[in-house]
Amino acid sequence: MFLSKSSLGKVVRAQVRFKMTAYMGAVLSLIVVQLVGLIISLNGTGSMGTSIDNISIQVNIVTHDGVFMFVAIWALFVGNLITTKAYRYDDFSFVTTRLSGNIANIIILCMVSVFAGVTTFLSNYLLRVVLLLFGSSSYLKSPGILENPLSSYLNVMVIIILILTAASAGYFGGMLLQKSKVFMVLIPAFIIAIPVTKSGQAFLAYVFMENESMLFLLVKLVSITIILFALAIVTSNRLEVRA
Amino acid sequence: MSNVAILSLLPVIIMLVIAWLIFGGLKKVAKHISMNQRFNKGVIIVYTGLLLLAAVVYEFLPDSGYEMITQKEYHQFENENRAFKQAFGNNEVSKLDTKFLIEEWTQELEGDTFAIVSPGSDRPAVRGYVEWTDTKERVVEGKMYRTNLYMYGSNLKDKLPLLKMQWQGNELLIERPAKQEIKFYGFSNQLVSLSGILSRHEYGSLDMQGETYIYLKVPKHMNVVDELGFLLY
Repeated sequence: MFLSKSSLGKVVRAQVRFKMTAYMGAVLSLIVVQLVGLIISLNGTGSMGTSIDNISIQVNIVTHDGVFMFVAIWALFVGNLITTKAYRYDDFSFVTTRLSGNIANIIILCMVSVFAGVTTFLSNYLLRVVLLLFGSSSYLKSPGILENPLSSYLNVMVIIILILTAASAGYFGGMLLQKSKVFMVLIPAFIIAIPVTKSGQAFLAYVFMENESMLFLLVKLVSITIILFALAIVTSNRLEVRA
Repeated sequence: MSNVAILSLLPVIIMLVIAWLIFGGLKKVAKHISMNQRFNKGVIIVYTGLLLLAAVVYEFLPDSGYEMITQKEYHQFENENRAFKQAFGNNEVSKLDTKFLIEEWTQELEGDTFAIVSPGSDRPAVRGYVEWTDTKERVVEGKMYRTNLYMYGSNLKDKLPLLKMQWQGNELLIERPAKQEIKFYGFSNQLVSLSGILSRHEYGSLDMQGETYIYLKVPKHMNVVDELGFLLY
């Protein structure tokens, strides 16, 4: 018998509110990571070149790739970080179950991924403005957000989902590490095996290359993310209780 | 696994190492900094505001960049180049589009012989045509045309130095411009690492180099020493 009746929704909402404040440091580290990515991207993230009659033409393309790489790694770390004991024990401040804790964590990772995705996309515009105002080279006009809103929206979605997939991989990996230290060896071995083995390469090609449109990619990434979160929940249910 | 695949993984590994070092450094620094919630919120709001402001400012920056052409325009310009090449090849002077005319001149020569030469070992990429006229004077008329030049989807005709054509005595010198490197910035809303699966990269497929054409009108009684292999009619 309890004095107050609390539903799963209410517990999750309270936990999310608490975690939003508690994990603000992670968002600050995201900003630092993005700034590092921006500095590295100042010279462009790719380049193309050709020459005509003694004149060599070089185009430095400034994209989100540099910042995105750092943010994706950051998401992997953050997903992993919130599975550590210190963070998990925060849940015990509430009347909670493992399920509510996991749902709250997933919601927080989704929210952080949206913030990270949108800011990663916008960081490209900060670079554009800095290079156009202070750079010495000419530039080729490129579509902005207003000129191509649908494409911009889809690109933001792709970035958000990719970051969320990285976060879910980190979350699942973190749960496995909490279960057994054997995974400290198995996870890096698995990560190396993906691009090295034929089946791993086939998997990467299926997810990232064999897509007729961006929508296919989004569906695949969302499916992978859901599977990873589900596996993380199942794994966390088998963890030992707090001593 | 091929060497190319291993090499393509290198940047990712380097990125991972750099990121690892940065996160390690951040953790150490964070231990010594105690920031309150208000400060944290302030930093996040200022940063987000700055990014939004950059996106707005970019839309309102004065247009000084090179305009990108559409696929439709690309095909139209390509057809113009093809039509010009055909007309030039068939000696249909009246059909040569005057919008491609770069310069025209008339030169009075002293002797009955002149040479078309190019200094250096590399021949300039130029198509030439010499038409004989019945005039008794020693006057050579010349016209230089440059067809559409679009690189990475932008009209770079005014940015790139053209072939130089100048008279030195009885020699018509056709020179390539001095070696030079021109740099541009290009921006993309797409992740280039995924551009294979996303729509084709904005800059990749809209190249059209065009050509330089030189059209000369030479009196029949004159001799032309042609090192560049112009079409002599």
